[in-house]
Amino acid sequence: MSIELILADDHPLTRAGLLAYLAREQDMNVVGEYADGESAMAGIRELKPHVALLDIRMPGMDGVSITRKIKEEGLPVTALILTSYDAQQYVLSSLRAGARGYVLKSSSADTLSRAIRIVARGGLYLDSEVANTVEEGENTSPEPISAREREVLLLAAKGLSGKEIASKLFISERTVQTHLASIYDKLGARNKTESMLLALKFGVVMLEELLD
Amino acid sequence: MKDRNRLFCIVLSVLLPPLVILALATTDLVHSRKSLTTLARLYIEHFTEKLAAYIGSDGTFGPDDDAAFYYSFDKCAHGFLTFPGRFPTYFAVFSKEGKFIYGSKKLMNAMNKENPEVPMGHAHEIGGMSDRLTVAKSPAAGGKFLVVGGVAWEDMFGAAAMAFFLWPILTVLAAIWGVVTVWNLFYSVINPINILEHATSTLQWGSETIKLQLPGANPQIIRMRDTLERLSRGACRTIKANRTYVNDLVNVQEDERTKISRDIHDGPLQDVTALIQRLRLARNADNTEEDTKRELDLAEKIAFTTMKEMRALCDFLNPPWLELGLSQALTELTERQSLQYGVKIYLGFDESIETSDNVTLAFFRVVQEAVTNSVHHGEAKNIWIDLKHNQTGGIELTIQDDGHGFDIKDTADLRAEGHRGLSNMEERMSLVGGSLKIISYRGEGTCIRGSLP
Repeated sequence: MSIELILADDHPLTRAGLLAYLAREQDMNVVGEYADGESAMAGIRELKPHVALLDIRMPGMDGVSITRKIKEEGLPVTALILTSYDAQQYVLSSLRAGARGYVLKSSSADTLSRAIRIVARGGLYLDSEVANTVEEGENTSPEPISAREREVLLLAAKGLSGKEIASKLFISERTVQTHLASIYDKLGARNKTESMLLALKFGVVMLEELLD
Repeated sequence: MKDRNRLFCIVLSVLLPPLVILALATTDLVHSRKSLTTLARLYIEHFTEKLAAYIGSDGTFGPDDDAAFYYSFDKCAHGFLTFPGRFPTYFAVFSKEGKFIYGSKKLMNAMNKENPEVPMGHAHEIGGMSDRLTVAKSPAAGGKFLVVGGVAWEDMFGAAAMAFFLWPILTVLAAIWGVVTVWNLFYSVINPINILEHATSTLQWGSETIKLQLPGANPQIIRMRDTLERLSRGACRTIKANRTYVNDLVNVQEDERTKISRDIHDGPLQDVTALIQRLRLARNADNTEEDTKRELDLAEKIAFTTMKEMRALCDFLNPPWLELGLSQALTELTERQSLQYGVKIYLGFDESIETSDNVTLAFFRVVQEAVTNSVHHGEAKNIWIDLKHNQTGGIELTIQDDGHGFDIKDTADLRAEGHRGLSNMEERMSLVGGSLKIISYRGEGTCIRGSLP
């Protein structure tokens, strides 16, 4: 069974490029292409494709909002976010909104196809450029993080400040910082968002935990 | 603190001389009075004694050798003697029992009223301030009569006598006057200066204003305070304006960066992404020669598009037609804007206008901003731009649109709400020494007039 797709991207040249990528895949079928958010949303409602490839920034409605709407309306559509940004804060907000993955527009055709196949199967795909270290040694699992660190990481991923985390866990703000530094160190991350993504990738935290 | 003490020292040193003079004068007064009293007493004692010697057993003056004395006496039978070399002197003759026989009624009254126990031969004073008499009595004709002599201080010492009575009052008044004056000086000058000095030295210029109540202070000091108040308010305003200005500059810079970043993202970056995609597609192993050629052709087209967009971005950032002069630059700008926004722009200008680079840039940016505003906020369809000399030989730029206008608020308010367009235009004009006027009513379009003298 082929994977039915819609593609929403406001830039005609990149849209054409992506379509050309997808046209080569036998198991994929692009059923709709859109240049703005609103018509993309309408197409999703009407066509109910397996996977929606959504650009983050589009006129009318952005990719993250569409993802949220899909989740709210309970549509059987998996959102895969596409963007030329490697800005990590977008990743978390789209994942929180319900996206199952994130691919850079500059990815190769193979990477794109692989990402689509993974999310269509119900998996989670995070682009390698977002969390680079994993690609280098996929087998190396990180040093295990403690339960407390995990708690701190989850709260931080939900967007709480150091102060808020401190008051929630009845610890000092300094301790929160210490925990975060230790988490970064163990996961090999440079910041909060990256550590969150790496934690997802390593299976330290589940996507569902992020969403509640 | 030392300086403040100095003010007190000055007050004290102002107060000191009058106090010293007062003390000395009082001592002097006491001494003078003593000697005057002594003088009057000596005189009257001597006079009375001498007069008594002339009184015969009948109580009248017997014949004697002192012709001058007689003479005077005859003239002044009423008991008041005036003669050369002596003070005008009263006298009266009483019986042994103290009954008035003849002489000065004044002395009779005085003796009756006061009824003093005057010891024989010893003078003393009776009467009040204005009618003080020094009197003495002496027995005459072997104790048969009593002669009383009196000299009025007023006659003997004249105005000096009055001064002695007034002196204590004057002294007290002078003392009170002095204290009041010094207090007044302190209250209306020294103290306000101290308060003002303290307020000024502890004031944080630019973040505080002086607000002082100085009741009773001298008008000059009040004016000084008012001036300081104004200055401190001015300093606050200046600092605030500077902060706002710097803030604006930073915000404008940030906005510009965001805009440029977005422009690059939406334009060239997307193009280059598409270019990469095409090159990858061209390299595909399954391609026929025709496929590869098609992808490469597409890639070339995309590369051209990228170049065009980059060029447009460069033109936007630093328009090269600015170098062609104001009229050319405006023609170029309005043609582009007309195409970009789909509005009609009617540009009219006086060909003879020549401007410096700064002025050209200012007018150029004002037009750019004004047209953008007309389209975005006013939804104008037609815009008339006119550049001409005004009556005074300056340059006047008018931009009129048929958009739906707006309620003019203070540009400071608009700026506070994040709309810096209008204040940016104002600043552009004022930087080159000009001014900007905005006329707009809801539903009637907007007219922006920039003038340069």
